[in-house]
Amino acid sequence: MNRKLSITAITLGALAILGELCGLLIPTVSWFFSIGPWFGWISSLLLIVLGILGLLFLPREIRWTPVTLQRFRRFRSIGRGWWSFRILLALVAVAMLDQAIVGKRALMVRCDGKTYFPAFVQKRYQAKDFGLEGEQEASYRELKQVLSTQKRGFVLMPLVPWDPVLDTDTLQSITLEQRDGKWFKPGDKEPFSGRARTSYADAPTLKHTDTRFRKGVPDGESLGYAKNGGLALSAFYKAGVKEREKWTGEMPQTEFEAAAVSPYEMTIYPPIPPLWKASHYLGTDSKGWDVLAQIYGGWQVNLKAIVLYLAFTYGVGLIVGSLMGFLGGVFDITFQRIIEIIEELPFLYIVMIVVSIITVAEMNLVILLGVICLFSWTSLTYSLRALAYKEKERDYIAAARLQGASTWRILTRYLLPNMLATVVTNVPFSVAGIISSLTALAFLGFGLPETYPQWGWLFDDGINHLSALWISISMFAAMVFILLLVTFVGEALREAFDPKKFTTYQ
Amino acid sequence: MKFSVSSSLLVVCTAALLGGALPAADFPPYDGTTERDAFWSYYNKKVLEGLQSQEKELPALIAKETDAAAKAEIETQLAMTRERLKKPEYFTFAKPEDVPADLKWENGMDEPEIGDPNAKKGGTMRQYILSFPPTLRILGENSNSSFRGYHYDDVEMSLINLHPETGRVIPCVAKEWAVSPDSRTVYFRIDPDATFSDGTPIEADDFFLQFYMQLSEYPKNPFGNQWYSENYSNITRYDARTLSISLTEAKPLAPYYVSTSPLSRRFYSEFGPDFEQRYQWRCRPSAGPYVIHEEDIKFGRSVTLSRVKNWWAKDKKFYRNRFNVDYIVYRVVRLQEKVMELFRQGELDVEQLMMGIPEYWYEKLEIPEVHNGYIHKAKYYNIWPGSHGGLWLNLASPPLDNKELRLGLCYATNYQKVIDFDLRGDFQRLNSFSQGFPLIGDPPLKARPFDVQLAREHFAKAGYTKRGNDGVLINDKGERLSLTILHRKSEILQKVMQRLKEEALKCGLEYKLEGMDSTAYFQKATQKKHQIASVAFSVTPPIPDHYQAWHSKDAFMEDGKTPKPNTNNLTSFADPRMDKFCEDERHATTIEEIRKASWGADQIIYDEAPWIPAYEQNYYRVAYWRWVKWPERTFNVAISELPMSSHVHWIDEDVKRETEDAMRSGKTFPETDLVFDQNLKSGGTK
Repeated sequence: MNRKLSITAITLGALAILGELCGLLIPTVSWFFSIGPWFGWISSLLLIVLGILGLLFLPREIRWTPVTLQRFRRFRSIGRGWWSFRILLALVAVAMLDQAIVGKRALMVRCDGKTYFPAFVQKRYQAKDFGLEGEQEASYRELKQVLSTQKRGFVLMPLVPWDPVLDTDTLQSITLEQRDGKWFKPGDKEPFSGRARTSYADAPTLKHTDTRFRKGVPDGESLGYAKNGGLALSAFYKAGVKEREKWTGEMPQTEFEAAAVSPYEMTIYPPIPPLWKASHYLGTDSKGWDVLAQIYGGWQVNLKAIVLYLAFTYGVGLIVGSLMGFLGGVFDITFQRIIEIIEELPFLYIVMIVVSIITVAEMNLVILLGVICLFSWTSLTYSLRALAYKEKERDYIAAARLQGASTWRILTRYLLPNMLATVVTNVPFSVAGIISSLTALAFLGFGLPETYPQWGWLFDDGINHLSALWISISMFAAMVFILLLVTFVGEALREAFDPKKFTTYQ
Repeated sequence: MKFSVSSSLLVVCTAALLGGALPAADFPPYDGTTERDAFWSYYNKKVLEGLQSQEKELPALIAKETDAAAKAEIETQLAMTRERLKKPEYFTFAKPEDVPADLKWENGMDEPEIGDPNAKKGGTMRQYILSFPPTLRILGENSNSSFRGYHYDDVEMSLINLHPETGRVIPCVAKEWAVSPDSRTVYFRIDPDATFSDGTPIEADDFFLQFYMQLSEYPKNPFGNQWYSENYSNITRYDARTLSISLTEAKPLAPYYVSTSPLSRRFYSEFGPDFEQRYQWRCRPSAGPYVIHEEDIKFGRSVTLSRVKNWWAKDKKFYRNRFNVDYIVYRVVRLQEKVMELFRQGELDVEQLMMGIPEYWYEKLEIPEVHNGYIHKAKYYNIWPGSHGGLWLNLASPPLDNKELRLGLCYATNYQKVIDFDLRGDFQRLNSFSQGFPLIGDPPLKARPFDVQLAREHFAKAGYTKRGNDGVLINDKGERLSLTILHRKSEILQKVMQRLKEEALKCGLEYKLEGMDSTAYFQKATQKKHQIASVAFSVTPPIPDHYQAWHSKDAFMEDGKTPKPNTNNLTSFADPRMDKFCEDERHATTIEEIRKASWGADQIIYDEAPWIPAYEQNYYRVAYWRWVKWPERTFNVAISELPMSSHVHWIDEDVKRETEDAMRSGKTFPETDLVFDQNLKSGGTK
């Protein structure tokens, strides 16, 4: 087990450095360097060093104590928790696939005999590299259509071909059809009511007329636009009959009326409902960003946050808490007061104040978590302190001390393993806590900038657009599902680590 | 009984919280009249001394100044000072026979009527405010809140008004007026019928009081202090109902520039050092059609305006059939979403502010109340310049001092996509700073379109030639092309900014977004702590004012490097050519001169690109319950910023009963969605 972990750490670090040096983007591994070069180098080198140290100094296998093995067995025997744990692991694995399943860059492009892998290299191909116009980054969804119509190759897109953030679709529209002089939405029995527009046939993005329909015929305002976008005509219909019209002179009337136009289409403005033809499986939010991609991206951000948060709060909490209990005296009293002060501060408000001083624009995940951790490492200390006080009076500690064991050795070899149960059973609650905190902060507008996909933003958008049910329902379902899984695992862990097999609550 | 005690306690507590206000009786009596009467001679002396010292100092400044343009400016200033010294008195008390005999008196009675003869008086109009007003004073700390517009700016009467259709001068408190041959002095004869709502007649001294209070340092009122001391050179009383007001320099539309409102001497007799606290919640007698009664101030909940039943102007040509509603209740509703719900339930009669947002207009109004014809919709093309919305680039913050970079930003900022995508094509691109002023016409400029190629070319000229891994351009020093936009935090603006960010990335430009709440963001922008600020200044016709936003005097402190805080020159733009145009625009005496100056200034803004114009709308939309009636053929008056501000609407109680019955019995009316495009000018957007 130790050996496997060490080798994995070395591989991860090496892959990260290799990817950075060769200009590759390997899913998940490339994340170290995406935070910043210093973070990338430090973390990947640290992984390699730790891995090597582990190989050299740790025993090949961990010798679990029979009690621990017993606990594992009990955990596995609790069906609901064990299944939740496995589903969570699977979800983590899916999240680690990263741009291979969710993203706007193509997995593979075959164009004019050459092959590219845009999703997996750091280089951003420009539109002109594929024979399109312009120096902006190629839009692979567009390229897919171009290549297939021109028969110059193919594009393989990820399963969800959208970036979680800052990636908007062009406006989607549904072409109306005319039956017995009335306009209908395809497949509808009721005539169309709403707004529909026609476009210039030679320039489909330029609108020609924009008309309000009631019961299949123009009724109400109808605006005509010249090719330069200026208002050319303001007309008014009543039950399909033009009541009056006013020409602004932006475009001659004859020319306007003679222009070739497309049939009426209904434009779907964001939020777009789930639309398979546009690969929006769960629709989009009001900005036009894909909901599924955002949920996925938010899950990834949460996972990163969980790793950093647990590493910091549990690291500091364990050390400070056990030392407080073990050393006692002045050290204990000093930290007790410090902790009391920190605990009295209203955590969310403090984070909000700090975020508004740093400004959301300058925020990133590491800073935000730093701020959160600064105020939450205290949560674990008190229970560990109590535990350490209790344990240190036990005979086995006294025996170790008599044998001349150092404080460090007593702490790591004897005390820590006996406090593990408390720590492990706390983890799921911390996980649920940090997910909710991040979501709440984003919901209130004090989270990360819009370059990070965040669940809180989706919630906010869903609440502001209650008629677009797909936003709030998908987000709600996803969050409840994840939190349920975490809670089930937590319950199972608590039960498995409970020294009494049967407990009767009174 | 118990209830009333506790509720009155609550009111007192709230009142105390709302600004330490005490009931009027709790202030010790104070008589400010002697101080006021002493002010006239005191201020005259102060003005004289100021002018004399200026006359002494300016020649020395001229000698020192090396720049020809600046020199010329000081010289005109000196000439003006000398001109004023010929008649330095600010407050003059003259005799009736001192009015020049050869004046040409006008009364504007040839202009068309404004109100609709079908209008009925009566009813209660229920509207909302998002927060309770911080004070009912019209001067001093916190007085410039949005509620002041409702109870003062929109309904108070001044000497004259501009006709909201023709733009020409119409009588108001003054029945007649005459402009002196040099266009600097305007003489007024006050309408003998004119009285305040408490019955006291309006006299020339009530205008003196306005000057006194504006010039006084008791209320915190730097703008009024400056405006009244710099723009006016004299106010003269000839008799109780005749007065004249002079400007420091000639202006076109002089009567409009000197027009001001009377303030009751009787009411403000306790004006003194504690004015701000003493008058915090006192209800002022008005010259206009609406007053607030003390019992109608429900702290934290609502304020009601009541119609003055025997208002002196109710049968005057331009004021009859207007101001029809008996009571206007402004109820506090703190959440925008709740406003829409209350409107739907018929708790509010009109919704005008949120209807500009496409989502509300198209989707949130697809409701049975609209389909069944209970709520009507109307779209009205008005004549009002769009606000100066756009991105203000702070030239004092590198790399924005680079002109090529700024040009690149203009091409990389895709407002057109915002219009098409997020605003559903309801808005149009704003092209220039002076767009939408019918008097001077639109300058022949077009905003730069979004163009990836051109943007990249300009960025390359600015030194950003390499591309980073994230697609953002980098210059030789390794600096990324990343700029922060400061904006107000609101749902729609956030969306707009994110769209700009997404599109700018195509040009290799990264915009970082910093959303703050409205007070904090504007403060940060006026402190010039921003790189780019998205700000929309509201604009008042009839003439554009470049001075506030572009004159170099507001750009930097004396050291010439530090941006000057608390000014509206958000770009830190300093250009002597621009200063010339700004001053010309303010000092112009003809429309032709104004046009030359405004268009010239706009050309500089276009060439130097310190400002990226956003979008504007040349109409407003309103949704209202069908018992709210508007003039049938015209709906409203052309020069109006919002549908309610011109007060041409009325409430038809019969229709209200009919509608309520219909809603109960399920009877429906035809869906009504009106468009009034009579002001949509041929041959252009506006």
